Amino acid sequence: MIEFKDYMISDRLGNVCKVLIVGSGKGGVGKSTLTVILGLRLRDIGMKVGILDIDLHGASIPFILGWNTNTTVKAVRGGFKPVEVHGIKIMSLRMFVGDRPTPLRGERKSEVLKYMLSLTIWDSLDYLLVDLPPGMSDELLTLVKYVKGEHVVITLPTKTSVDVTTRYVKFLKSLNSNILAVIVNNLMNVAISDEVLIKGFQEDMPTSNYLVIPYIHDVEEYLLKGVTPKKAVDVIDKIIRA
Amino acid sequence: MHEYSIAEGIVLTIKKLREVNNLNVVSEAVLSIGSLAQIDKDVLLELLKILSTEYGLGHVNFLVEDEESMFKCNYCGFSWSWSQVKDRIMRELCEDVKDCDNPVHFIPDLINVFMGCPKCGSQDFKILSGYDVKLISVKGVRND
Repeated sequence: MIEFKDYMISDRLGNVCKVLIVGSGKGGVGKSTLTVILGLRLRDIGMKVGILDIDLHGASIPFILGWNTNTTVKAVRGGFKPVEVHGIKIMSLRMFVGDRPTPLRGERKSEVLKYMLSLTIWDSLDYLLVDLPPGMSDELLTLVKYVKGEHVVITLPTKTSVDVTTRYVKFLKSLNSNILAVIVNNLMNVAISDEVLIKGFQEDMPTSNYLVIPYIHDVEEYLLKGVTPKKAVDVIDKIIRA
Repeated sequence: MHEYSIAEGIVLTIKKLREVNNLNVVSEAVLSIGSLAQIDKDVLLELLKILSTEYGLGHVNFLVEDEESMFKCNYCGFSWSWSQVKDRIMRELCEDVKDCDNPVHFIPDLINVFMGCPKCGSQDFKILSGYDVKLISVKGVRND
């Protein structure tokens, strides 16, 4: 059997200049929030941006950006067009399933992702941001098989989060992936212990690659309105320049 | 409209295979269409014919095999086919619109989101066969 979707993926991403993959391994650390802030900042500086939400069980990018999740995707000649929200093109499973739960096992998830990759018509983009689910399962494995991108890793400043994220970084390194930065999301607004971070990552990342994103009050309100929080701009610009 | 995407994907793949395998002519391609994909076979064949010409493949004889979609519940072990439940599921997906564009037509693997086991209701079931359009084989004549 010949897998025709495989051949379509490279064709569909042919006009995408740069792919940034936002992941962690750990859940609840702010991957989707960081992805959206990154997208808004890139939009602000005049870049054409798309976000591919591949958190198949917990797709939240449309919700964060205030898109009406009852709207379903429509087929166009050659595939599906992403929807545009606040000047960012987004594609998410939410556009297919709405508010329904998505009880999908491994192989089904890989196939769903391959469909999303092979049928989404992005046209030309300066940046495609990919929002990963937690873990190192089918979504990540399928993505890295088909898409060459650079990685942005995010963790909380806690021992548990750093422990899980360190293993995620090790996995990316085993693939010779380029990690642009490790972002420490200080969403608890606490004093960050360098010891926790340096000990956790010392073998896998040079410490100069850590960037701390400060606590942002009402971050959800900013993103819902499509506004880049000012407090995040410095960190985001460093990621973009990395 | 979705048939166009499938046809384009198949023709692009055949074109790539022709280059990789140094084929002068592609004479035949065999496809299998799973019933779950709800593909209009006549429309697909017509589009394959048009796109083969557009992409410079010339005349390719497309042979299509129909494959019934079969399921098995991971929870209670019950097995069933798409034809047994199709009318009910399609009514739920499309309401009164005949053959509507729906998520399962676009991505057949999403059937677990929209259907449960007819016996126990669990959405945790395997798709045993016939969930997709597959390119089974391509025949041609080499340049050398």
